[in-house]
Amino acid sequence: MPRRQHLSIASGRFVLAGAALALAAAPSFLDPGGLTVLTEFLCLLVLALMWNLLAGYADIVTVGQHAFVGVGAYAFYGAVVLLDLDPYLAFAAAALTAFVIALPAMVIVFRLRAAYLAVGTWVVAEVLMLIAGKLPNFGFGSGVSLPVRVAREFGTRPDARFATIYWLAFALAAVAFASTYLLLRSRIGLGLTAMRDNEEAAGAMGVNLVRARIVCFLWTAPFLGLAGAIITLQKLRISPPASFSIIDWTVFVIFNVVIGGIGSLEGPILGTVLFFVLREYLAQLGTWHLIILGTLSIVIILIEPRGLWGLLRRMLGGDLIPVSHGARPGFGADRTP
Amino acid sequence: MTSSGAGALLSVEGLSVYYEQFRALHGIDIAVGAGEIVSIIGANGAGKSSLLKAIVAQVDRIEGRILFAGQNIASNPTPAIVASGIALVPEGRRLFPTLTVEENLEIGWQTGRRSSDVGLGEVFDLFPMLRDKRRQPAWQLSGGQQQMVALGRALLADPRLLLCDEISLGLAPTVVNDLYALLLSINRRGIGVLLVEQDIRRALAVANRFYCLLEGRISLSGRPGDFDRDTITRHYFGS
Amino acid sequence: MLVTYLNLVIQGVLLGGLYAIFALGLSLSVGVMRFVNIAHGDFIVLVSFLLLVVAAALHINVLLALLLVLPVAFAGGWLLQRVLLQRVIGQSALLPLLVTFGLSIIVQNALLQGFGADTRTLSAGRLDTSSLHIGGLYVGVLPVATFLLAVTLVLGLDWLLYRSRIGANIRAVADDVAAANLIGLSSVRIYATAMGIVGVTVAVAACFMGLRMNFDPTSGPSRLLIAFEVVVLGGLGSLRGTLLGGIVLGIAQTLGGQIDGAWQVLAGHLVFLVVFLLRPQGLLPRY
Repeated sequence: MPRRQHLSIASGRFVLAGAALALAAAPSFLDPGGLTVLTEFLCLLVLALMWNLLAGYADIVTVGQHAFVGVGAYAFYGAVVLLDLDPYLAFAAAALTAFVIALPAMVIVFRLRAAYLAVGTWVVAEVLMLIAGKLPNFGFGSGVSLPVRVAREFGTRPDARFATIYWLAFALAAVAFASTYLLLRSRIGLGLTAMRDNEEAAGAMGVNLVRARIVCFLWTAPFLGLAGAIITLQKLRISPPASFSIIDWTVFVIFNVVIGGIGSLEGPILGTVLFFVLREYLAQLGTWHLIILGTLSIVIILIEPRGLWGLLRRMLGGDLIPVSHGARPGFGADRTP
Repeated sequence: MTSSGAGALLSVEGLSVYYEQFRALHGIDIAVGAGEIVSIIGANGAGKSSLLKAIVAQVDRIEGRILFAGQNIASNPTPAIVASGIALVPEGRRLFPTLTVEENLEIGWQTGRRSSDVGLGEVFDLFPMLRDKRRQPAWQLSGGQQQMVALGRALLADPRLLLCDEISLGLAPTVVNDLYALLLSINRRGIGVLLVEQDIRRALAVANRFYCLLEGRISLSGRPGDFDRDTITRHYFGS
Repeated sequence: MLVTYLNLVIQGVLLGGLYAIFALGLSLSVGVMRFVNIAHGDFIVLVSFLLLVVAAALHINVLLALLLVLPVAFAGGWLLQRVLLQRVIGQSALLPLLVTFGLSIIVQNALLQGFGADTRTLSAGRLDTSSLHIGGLYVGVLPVATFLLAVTLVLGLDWLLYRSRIGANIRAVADDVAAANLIGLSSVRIYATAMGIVGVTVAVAACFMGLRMNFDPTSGPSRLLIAFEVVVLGGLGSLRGTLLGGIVLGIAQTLGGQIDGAWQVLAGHLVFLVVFLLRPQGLLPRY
């Protein structure tokens, strides 16, 4: 590798580390409004990392990711309000419930082949949302607010509360990022990367691909559930349309990952950052916001299936966060002489 | 060499074939005269199939000229090439498994010169056993019968040049004998044949001329009788 | 009591006809091009709006407008495949999925932008309300006509696929696209034609959906899910199966609808999931 590339990769990593440090110190210099946006950013980042793990590595293109966010939100509410559990224990309940729901969902979803799988996850998500709207203790279809006492457990003053919720989101994002990184560098992750690039090579590595995909699917559920719990804590309300919002927790997330760069760890980060930057300018455009994001994602797929990070990576000449050890060819480039 | 150059039916000049970074053929020259059977022999990966695929424009990128009946067809799309009179019998037969025998054959006619001189009847005359199986899906046929359909499909295109890629692969010797006998009778009608074959003995037995490919280059060419066995084997393996 | 349930089942069967029409295009595009068009439902809604506009602008009956729109729908499907989808199919299942996902969101929001969020229906004049009285049961003429049309379309498409030359070409490409290209059968042209046919079925679905039920710019996804469930229930690639799948779903939804609106949808999904778990190959698998 030429020296100039070493330099640009090193400076890229420097920026990444600097951003992480700034996030860690954010509560000391941001007002509650800023912290709220940043909390939202971290939650969406977690969702993006999880969707990318499934679609970019495990060949599970889910359109039903919002289901587990909603399940986490409802489980958190149930644990903290209905069961009167300690709020921090309620987080564990949210993660666990999402995991438990993922088990039967997996049985259904894994029976569907590639293209069908996407819509299959959507059906599962619809069913879960409709069931949530039938739960009497959760306010049926219109939902219910979180009692003030629950919010107070995280800080009596609003700014303290915002800081606590921020720390929770930060911790979740940090754990999600670090553990996904380790998972991708494990035998399972390497096997999945090999599968994506060349099915035969993966078989030769002796990695059980079905098991690897199952591990990934179950892996994401608790993280999505926890994100749902934190989002609930921030919005102080659960309802089927908001907690199970396909636009907020799936559509935006897919666009973020696709635009940022699917199949890398840098891509979801880049895409989510870009999403928040664009939102500043586009959110007031209403429907145009989604039209622009949709168009952008299609254009990027046509130009570079690996998204903006794919373009940037070519310029830098390497990964900032190296997951696989070798060079990576493009998607499905399975032409053989 | 007898019939290379301007008078040839097919004349490949300085052909190189690339798959992304990999170069499969290095500027080779090959000619097939009308009514001639030309064999391409060579070891696995020598570039034999790449040559045939390049002629029908099914490779990533080529350099050089491919003249068919005097026209450069190197930049034409596959359907136009086939419609102008070059039909391929692909390696592994590549029938459409759920289509009936008849449907497979009709697609051959459709892609070809759409001549009224050929029809299903001719193919069934050549391969009588296919007549009874015309309504069966192709996957139900034996390997030999499938090869007959593949050959029939190419013949229905009414080709002036027939490209055959490893038609003996995986078939019983008696079936292969029949197929080669047939190839000779097809050739006698004036159809040029470019034959890719791993079985050197068979390839040389039917050919007027042959080319031996070694790592993407021509290592030997001429009439089969011009060389002894050892010479050919040496150029085949490159030792 | 029994008559009530018999009546519901009949309504369910008739609704199933409409659902089968939703599913035909999806079944074809999955069977031939091996990808699920996430925007399938949104295209149905898009054409419903187009019919609304055409019928209003020309002061003609919606059914007449449909006749005018059919060639447009064919051309639309053809162009979509040729210009956009062709660039992403055949590499991996991921890219066409993501592209059609993007299209789905674009269509929904463009319709919201152009028409607002109001709920609409199409009207075919007297046909909307006429009904037949058969042995103590009342059935609407429109549902019966829709069902008969569904049967006709299934048989027609079956004929097209299995008896015509273009059908043989489509099946050939579905069997082995590389082989087709190798022998000079242009898969690009055939894919585009197939998608044009999908466009025609989408237009028919759009017309009869608009006549039978309310729609708004965000109705697409629910139509996609119905079409998807019908295709899977019926058995992948089986056109006759879509009719049966549609009927099963239609009956489940009609009976569920007796409880409330949410149960109507939920009952459909649950019956789908149960049948799918018991019979993943579908009710009438092709092979």
